[in-house]
Amino acid sequence: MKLLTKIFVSCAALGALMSAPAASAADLGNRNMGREIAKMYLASAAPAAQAGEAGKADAKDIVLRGDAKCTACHDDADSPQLLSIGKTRHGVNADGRTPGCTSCHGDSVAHTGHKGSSKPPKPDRVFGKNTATPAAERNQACLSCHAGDSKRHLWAGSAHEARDVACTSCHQVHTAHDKVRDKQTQPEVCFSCHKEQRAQVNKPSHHPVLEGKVSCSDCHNVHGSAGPKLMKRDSVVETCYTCHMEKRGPFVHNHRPVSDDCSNCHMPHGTTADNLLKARPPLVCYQCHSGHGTPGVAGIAPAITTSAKANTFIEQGRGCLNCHTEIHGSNNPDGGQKLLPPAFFLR
Amino acid sequence: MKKQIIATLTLVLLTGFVSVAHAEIDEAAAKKLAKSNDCFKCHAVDKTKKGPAYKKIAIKYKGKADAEAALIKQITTGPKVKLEDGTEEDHKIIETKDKAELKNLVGWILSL
Repeated sequence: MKLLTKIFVSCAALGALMSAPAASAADLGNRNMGREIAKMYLASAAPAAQAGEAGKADAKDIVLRGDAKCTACHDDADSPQLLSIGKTRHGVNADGRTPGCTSCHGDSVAHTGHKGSSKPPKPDRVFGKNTATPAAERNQACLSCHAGDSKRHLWAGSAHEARDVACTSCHQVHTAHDKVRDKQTQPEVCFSCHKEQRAQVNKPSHHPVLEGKVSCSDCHNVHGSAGPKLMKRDSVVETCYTCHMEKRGPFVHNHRPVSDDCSNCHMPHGTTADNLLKARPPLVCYQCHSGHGTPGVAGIAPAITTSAKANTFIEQGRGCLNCHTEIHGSNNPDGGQKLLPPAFFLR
Repeated sequence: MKKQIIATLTLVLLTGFVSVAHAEIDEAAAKKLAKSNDCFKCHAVDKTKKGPAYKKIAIKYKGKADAEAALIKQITTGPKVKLEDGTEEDHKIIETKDKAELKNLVGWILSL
């Protein structure tokens, strides 16, 4: 009997142990389901509830310091692209120099204080394509911080400034990717006005602009320069020498047009002749020089009475550079050849 | 056989109804109209700005038969509205009189 009682008690205990987890599992299941339902309910009710709370709270800055004044209306629902300024250097709040909306657009009291269903007046400074804000005033918004930059201190009086080009004509401020500051996309921005140069870089012989290896700003300082054509350096040759330093010399015999201006012979953006030359040799050389042996007249065939020197008449396939290889400047001491004056740019 | 035909027809009709119901609201067109009328300056889909969130409006009018008419009246007549900051101003009157466009916009708001 005792044994039977023990077995019964053990079974009861086991049963209780077995049923407990099952019951708790069921309870858990029920609880989970309850939670899920509550979650679903909350999820559907949440936006409205949050909306109500947000409305009561004061508007907060989203990206820039003090931007709540503007982003109360111009937020991600209205103009999400404007908030991309947060991805740029202008949006680095840790930097105390970075601007707020009103630093560039002005306080715009009439715009922000507008009430009613009519269109509000424009902000003080608008930078869009069809803006009525004069270019000088728009530029002032940028120059108030950037005027002292070493690359921009010659902006006043520069070609772009004189032609009413605004900073925002080329730059986009509210975007993470400002096209004109990317070597690959910069030429397209410049070519939108400089169409002649667009055609030139598409010619067979060209600087690798379209290939993304050279950009306009490698040679030009569009923000103003002391040199001609907004060149980066003080002259065309100085700018070209920054890459083509082997042409700089000094040489024993300088070719004067070289040290004067590379664009005497070359068209830097592109040409149909090799080596960016304005015309094929000998034509490009004939702009200054006459053909061998016949002063002033090129390409006249030698007569039977022509002197022995006449072999220079035959212009070696009309390729001046076949012999005058060092056309940019030669260090040839002439080697004692009396017939050849030293400045013939031979090797 | 008869049952199968009825079941198939029902399915076809239901499918058609569902697709028509979806085709009724052109979300992109509704958003475009709202954007061009500066609606998003004061309203957002799920955030209260100067005006209530569209989702809040949808909840408010859920199940009401006159919801569409009431909303169309709101955006076409420009009544005085109380803003979230407690001030009052005239509601903007939408710059379209195309009933289909208005219906589509209101339908989109109510569907949120």
